[in-house]
Parts: sequence; C-alpha cells; structure tokens
Amino acid sequence: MMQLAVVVAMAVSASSVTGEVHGASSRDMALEFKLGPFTPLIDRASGLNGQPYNDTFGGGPLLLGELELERQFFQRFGSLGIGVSAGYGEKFGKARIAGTNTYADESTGLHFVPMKALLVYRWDYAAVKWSIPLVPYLKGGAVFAPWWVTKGGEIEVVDGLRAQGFNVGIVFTGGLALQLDFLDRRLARDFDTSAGVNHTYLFAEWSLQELNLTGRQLDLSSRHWMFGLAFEF
Amino acid sequence: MAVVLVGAVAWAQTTTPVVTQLTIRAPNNAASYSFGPNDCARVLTATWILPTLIGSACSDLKFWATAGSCGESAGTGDVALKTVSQAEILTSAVVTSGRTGNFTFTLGALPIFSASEADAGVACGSDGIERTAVICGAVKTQSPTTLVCNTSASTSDSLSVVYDTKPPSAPVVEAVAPQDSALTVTLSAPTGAVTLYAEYRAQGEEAFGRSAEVSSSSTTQVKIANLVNDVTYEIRGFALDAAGNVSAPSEVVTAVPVKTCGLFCTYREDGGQDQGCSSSGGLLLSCGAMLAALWLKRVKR
Repeated sequence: MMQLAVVVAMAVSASSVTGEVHGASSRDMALEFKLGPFTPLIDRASGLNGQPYNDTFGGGPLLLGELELERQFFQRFGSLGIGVSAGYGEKFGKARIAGTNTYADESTGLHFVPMKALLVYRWDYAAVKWSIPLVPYLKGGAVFAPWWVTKGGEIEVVDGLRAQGFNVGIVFTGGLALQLDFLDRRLARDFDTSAGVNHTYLFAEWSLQELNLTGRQLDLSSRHWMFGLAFEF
Repeated sequence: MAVVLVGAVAWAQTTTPVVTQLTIRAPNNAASYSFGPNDCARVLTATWILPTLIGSACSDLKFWATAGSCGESAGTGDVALKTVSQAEILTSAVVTSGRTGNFTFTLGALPIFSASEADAGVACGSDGIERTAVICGAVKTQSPTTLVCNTSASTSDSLSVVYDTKPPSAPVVEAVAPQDSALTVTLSAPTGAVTLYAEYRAQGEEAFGRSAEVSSSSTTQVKIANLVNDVTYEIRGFALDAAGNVSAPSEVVTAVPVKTCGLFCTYREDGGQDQGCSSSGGLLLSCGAMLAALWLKRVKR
C-alpha cells in the first residue's frame, strides 16, 4: 500500500500539466492483452462423487490468454464502452487405465475458448483531470465458451458421447490499471503522435465467471486473476 | 527424376583469387542421391547453374562422373556426361544467380559399376553393396580484371550419387506404451535409417499388419491404432534407408492395449451429466438445436 502511495505521489509530482494532453489524438478504443491462471470449477458440480479435474490434472490451473477490444462511446465522467474478447486455454495430464488409479502413457487435455461480449466502465476521470495514474474499472457481460477434451490427441469419446460442447454464461470483472505515461510523458506523447496510442496501462483484474447456468454442464466457471497490457487509442 | 548435384569451381585470378561455385542440382535440392537396384535404368535430369560472379567462360563446360574424386577434367574410367560449349553457355537461360541448363544421365551407367568379372561382378542390381559416384563439372573462365583465360579450373566432389543395396541395421524397440485401442512403439533408429515402421499381429495370428512409416529421428515413435483392447499383440520394428533398403526385423516384443480414461471419461464416471454436444452430427448444429429447444421450452411456459 505504501509503495502504491509512493507511485501515485511520484506520478502527480512528475506531471506539470493535467492528464488531458493538449493536441492529443482522439481516444475511443482500447486493446488488451492478458494472461492468467484459470482453474475451472469442474469438481464443484452437484451430483459429482469424485474430483475429475483434480484427479486428472492435479488441481493446477491452466494458462489462459485473452485478447480484448473495446469501443468507448461515453467519456464524460470516466469512459463507458462495449467490448469483445476471445481467449484460449489448455491443460494436459495423463489418462488413467480404466477402473484403476494407475496413469497410462497417454495424454488427455482440456481445451477452452472463452469469447465474451462486455460492457466496460473505466473511471479514468482522476487520470485525465489530475494525472493520478490509477484507473479502476468494472466489466460485465456474456460468455460463450466452446470446449473440448482430447485423449491421445483426438476428441475423447465416452459411450458414444463426444467430449466437446460449449457453455454460455456470465462474467463480472473488477480491475485496476496503472497508466504508464507518467514514467516518460514525452515518450507517451510521441507514441500518440506516431501511432495514435493515447495511453498505455499495466493492469490486474479479478473475474467471477459462471459457466454452468443449467447445472448439468461441464462446469467451466471460475474465480481468477488476469494480468496484462492495455493500449487506449 | 532429377537430382541435385553440386560441384565447385575454384577460380584463381592472377592477383586476387576468387572462388565461386558451379552448382548442379534438382528440385529437391539434395546434396546426395541414393538409389537401389530397381533404379538402374532410371534417367536423371540434373540442372546446372553457373554464377555470374565466375566471369565469362573461355572453355567448354564439361560434366563427368567418377568413382574417385573430381579433378579438372575426366580421368581414365570416368564417364563423360555432358559438354556445354562456350556458345551454349552464353545462350543458356539467365537466372538471377547466373546461367543455367540441364543434362541427363542413366544411373546404371555410372562408373561405379562394371560388368567385368575382374571387378567381382559389381553390376547395377547387385545386392549387399554400397558404392558412391561423384558428379563433377569444370570450366575455365576469363578474369574480369586482366581478361586472361585462367589456365586451371577445378571442381569439388560435394555431390554424391550412392548405389546402396546394404540394408540398415535393425532398429531396437525401446518401449511400447499401451493406450486405448492403440500401442505407441518407441524405436531407436539405426545409422542411415530414413523412416521406421512397425509390424504387429495378435498373438496366435499368422499375418502381420503394418503401421504407417514415420520419419526417423534418434528415437522415433510409431503409433499403431485400431487395435482391440486386452488382446496381446506381437510387435517388431523395421528401418528403411534412403535407397529403400529394409532392415532385418527387431526383436519381437509383446504388449496389450488397454481402455484408458481421459478427463471426460473420469467426469462421467464420477457422475457428471454433461453429454457433450454431438455424437454424430456437427457441433454447432446439435448445440444450436439444444439451445433452440431450451428457448422454446421457456417461451411455452
């Protein structure tokens, strides 16, 4: 907390002008690249008498990568926008010899492609007006997530059922972005002049994702952190 | 079929030696070519390229095959393959790296073969031998500075045409991994092996089935699919070299494919209710139908 306060103080003192840079290009889009550990809550589903995810993968998270594009349409007190995102995550483990707890020399994998439509609000008022480089934000929206499970490199088939499907659900996200412009305002302005990028951010966000609305699906819900880099342009 | 043949011409100027390369090659860009007894009558087409750096040709460009190493010209026992006159060099096609043309020769006529009994009857078609012919090329060129025709031209023997009827050693079966209706065989490749494959049969059966061929690496994995779980199979491996010679079989090992359970199987065994989206139809079609049904159900309520 102390370190955060120091960063804010440095940023404010380093700036002799307000965050609204005179002559800056228009700013109505944002692009995010992010990575994070994602542990699907497969094992919490009601009616399960075991822990299939934990037994197969040891309970560890898979690495999820996402790309998000946002269009901002309101910028008076913070920025409001709509966005879309797509990601991919996979996790591999060993299949078991059926009826035993012995692992076979054959891989099994979970593959997951979350796609989202989002409403995004960023409270960047303080960054714009007072050059405080912290931007909290909220996102909420719908998730469409195709998934498939492989065994030995092919879609697993169990009793004639192919292990592939998709889940539909909802997601809520809260995050905090650190505007990096204060590190070198001249460089930031050059980036805007040459590439049209107004601001660059490092961010961390936490998501609550519910992807088992029917209660009968492979539960790909999660509570997870993501970390990434964002550009406003 | 064409072949890549590369010769080198070292061209010495009076003051500053300039070394450049005469290249003879085929579309596959291989530096060597192996063939077996079935290819003796095959006529290969080779393409040569004379770099512009080499300067103007002041002699004919000659190609020949030798069982030894390349000199500046064909020696006793070598086989002349092609002579390109100075005039032809000038009229040959111009490519970005120089002038180019091609010539053909019959593999069975290379000087590594002899019909004479004195040579122990090594004719093309003989078994159990490995012999290498080198394709050479040479031309004298004019120095771009002194305009004097150089007195010497030399070639390298970087291209080999190998007659090979020696089979590679048998591979070794390092491991067999039992999988669901399949076995993955790990083979260690012998020297000279280009591809590996495995043969298999259920214990008690006579005929062997054969897996697909897999490109060789130090340890190569060959997957045998569509087997029956809980049946004992006999497995043996084979190696093939570039000329298509097949090794002797490896030692026979036995293995049993077993039913395995991936994540979805474990989930279903534990009572999971998701049935996936498709057992026969397309993913989107069946999932779309499921969603439409859910929506209609709600509308009716």
